[in-house]
Amino acid sequence: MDTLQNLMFGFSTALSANNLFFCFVGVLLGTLIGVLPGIGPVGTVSLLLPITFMMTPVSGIIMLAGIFYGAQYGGSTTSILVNIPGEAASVVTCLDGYQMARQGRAGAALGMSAFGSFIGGTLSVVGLMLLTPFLASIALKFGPPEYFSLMCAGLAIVTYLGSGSVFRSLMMAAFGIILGCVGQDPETGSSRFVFGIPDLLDGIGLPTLAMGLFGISEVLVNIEKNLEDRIIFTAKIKGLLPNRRDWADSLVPMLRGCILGFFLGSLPGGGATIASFASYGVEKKFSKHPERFGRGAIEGVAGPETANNAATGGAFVPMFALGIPSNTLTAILLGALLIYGVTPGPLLIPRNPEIFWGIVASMYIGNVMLLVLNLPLISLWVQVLKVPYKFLFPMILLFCLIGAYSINGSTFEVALMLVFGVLGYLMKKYGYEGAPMVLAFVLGGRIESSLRQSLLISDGSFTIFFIRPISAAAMALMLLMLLSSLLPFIRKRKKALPPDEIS
Amino acid sequence: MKIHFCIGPLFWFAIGFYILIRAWELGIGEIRHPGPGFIFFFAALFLLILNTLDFVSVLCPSRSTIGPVEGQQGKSLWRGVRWGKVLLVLGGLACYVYFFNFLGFVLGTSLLMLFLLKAVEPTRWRTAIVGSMLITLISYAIFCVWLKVPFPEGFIGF
Repeated sequence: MDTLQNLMFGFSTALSANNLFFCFVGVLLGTLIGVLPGIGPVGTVSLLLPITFMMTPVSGIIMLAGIFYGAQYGGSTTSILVNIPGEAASVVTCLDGYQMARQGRAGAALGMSAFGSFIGGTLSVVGLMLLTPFLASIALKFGPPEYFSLMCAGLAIVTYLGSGSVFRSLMMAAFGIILGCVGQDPETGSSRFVFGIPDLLDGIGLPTLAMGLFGISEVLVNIEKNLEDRIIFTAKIKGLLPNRRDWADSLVPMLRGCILGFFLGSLPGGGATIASFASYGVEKKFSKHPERFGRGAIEGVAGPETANNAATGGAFVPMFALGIPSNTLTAILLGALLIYGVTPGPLLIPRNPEIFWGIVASMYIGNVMLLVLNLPLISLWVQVLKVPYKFLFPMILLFCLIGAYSINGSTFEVALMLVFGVLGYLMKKYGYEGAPMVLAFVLGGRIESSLRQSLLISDGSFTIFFIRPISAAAMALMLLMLLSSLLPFIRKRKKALPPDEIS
Repeated sequence: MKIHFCIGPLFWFAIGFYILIRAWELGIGEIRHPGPGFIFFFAALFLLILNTLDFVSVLCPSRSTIGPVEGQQGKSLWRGVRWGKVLLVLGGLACYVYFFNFLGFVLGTSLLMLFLLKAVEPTRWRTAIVGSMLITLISYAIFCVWLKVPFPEGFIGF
């Protein structure tokens, strides 16, 4: 009953004209950048973060969240029509979706993708709504040792599940913690690594780091490649509604994708990309005709597309309940909430119920908007796909420049963003991942404060992290992740997965 | 041994040692009462240890615990890619930042957009000029007029 009442309260917040408008803008933008290869939801959210400072926290997060799950809808369009994933989580949709398009069934593929995304997105919001308050009530018992251990375990899992070198991922996490602590020491007030620059006394801004590391660097990486012509199916796309046979083949994969996606999305280091790959693997395994996969099997579209959207709802669970993000994008959203003066965690729901329930309700509304937007507007998205990148990238760069300048009205932020842009570009070239760095950056200040508080409580003894049950469990998990990564005879060579939310 | 295998690790060694030394100067305090440099010192130490392990794995790939990393297959990271274009774009952006307050938003942005539209891919002058003006106009309308972001006016006064 309480949940229903809270949800009604959430709808009363989300259905205000302002919030409806920003939800629409968010899902529309999300679909657009999901369609366009060359920019992903992380870069877009980073770009728009400074603009949201002029809105209320609820409106800002509604819009940014809309971009997140909207991109999952849009990414499948290019996968099916062009065989190029619009964003990382739609890579696996290329395998069967494009083959369906070649067989004249682009409409069925696009339609099933949209419905699967809707079902995955909606059911994951139900999960978010039910699980978050429960998890938050447990988290009220957490103290500084539990938070420190959980955050370290989260970072360890993110690096373990990353696509590249584990050593390098951990290095980036360490560097992210260092960057996150730049500024004034909260206890002594002394300046740390500010180099006499007043703008750095409050620390490095998350928008500056994120826009540079993901926005600017992504553009630079795309510029250095030769831009090729894309072959787009221009034949009239008809029959967007899947037939009875399509539904019969896809229903169970969708339900499986939902559960798998929600669970994987809520794990640190999980997310939409891993969920979509896992779903494809599961469907192929369970299928009576696995030889059809890769040749236009509709289950190969329905399952992964449901899973990647279900993962977006799951990703919000640890962020809201514990204040610990599970991936780069929720790390940026968490940073945004902190900038707004809202602290995610177990006290978010009692103190700011309008934020949590408003966002949950807006996600229901957003999923309906996306279903309505995606099916009739497919021909528009096809036109958008034809816009050459040489016209898109100056606008992306300009948005980054304006966004960085608008933070403090200072060109220092813009210059710092360019420095991070160059760093992000070189990191991509030399095989260092940005995701662990951003996650650690957002958590850096809290990791330091919880470590210091824990050591004060325990009078300098590290055993405090091992005698408290929840902290001990998190530490054990962290050590297990690290040991299994570092021991050569246990660690298998991983197939490189595309980095989550970075196209 | 190809030099580009070593660039990354050498860079992080330099960063790590610098942070380690500065953190020590800040003061790491005691275990029971960590000082302002505590987290920096141990994070930098962790960074250096991992970097050493990574460097060893780069030097001895057969005993590596990691998957293949770009550049370890022997391919140069800078051949066959348009790194010159990247430098050109970065140069343009750096000039924009440097002259932003002097030129103002409108003139500075128009010039930057014109430069970017011409610098990377062949574009006709008419298309580039119209495109740069359109982008500047739209961004002025959104950010200055609607969102009221206070951009500098520059020497031309708007």
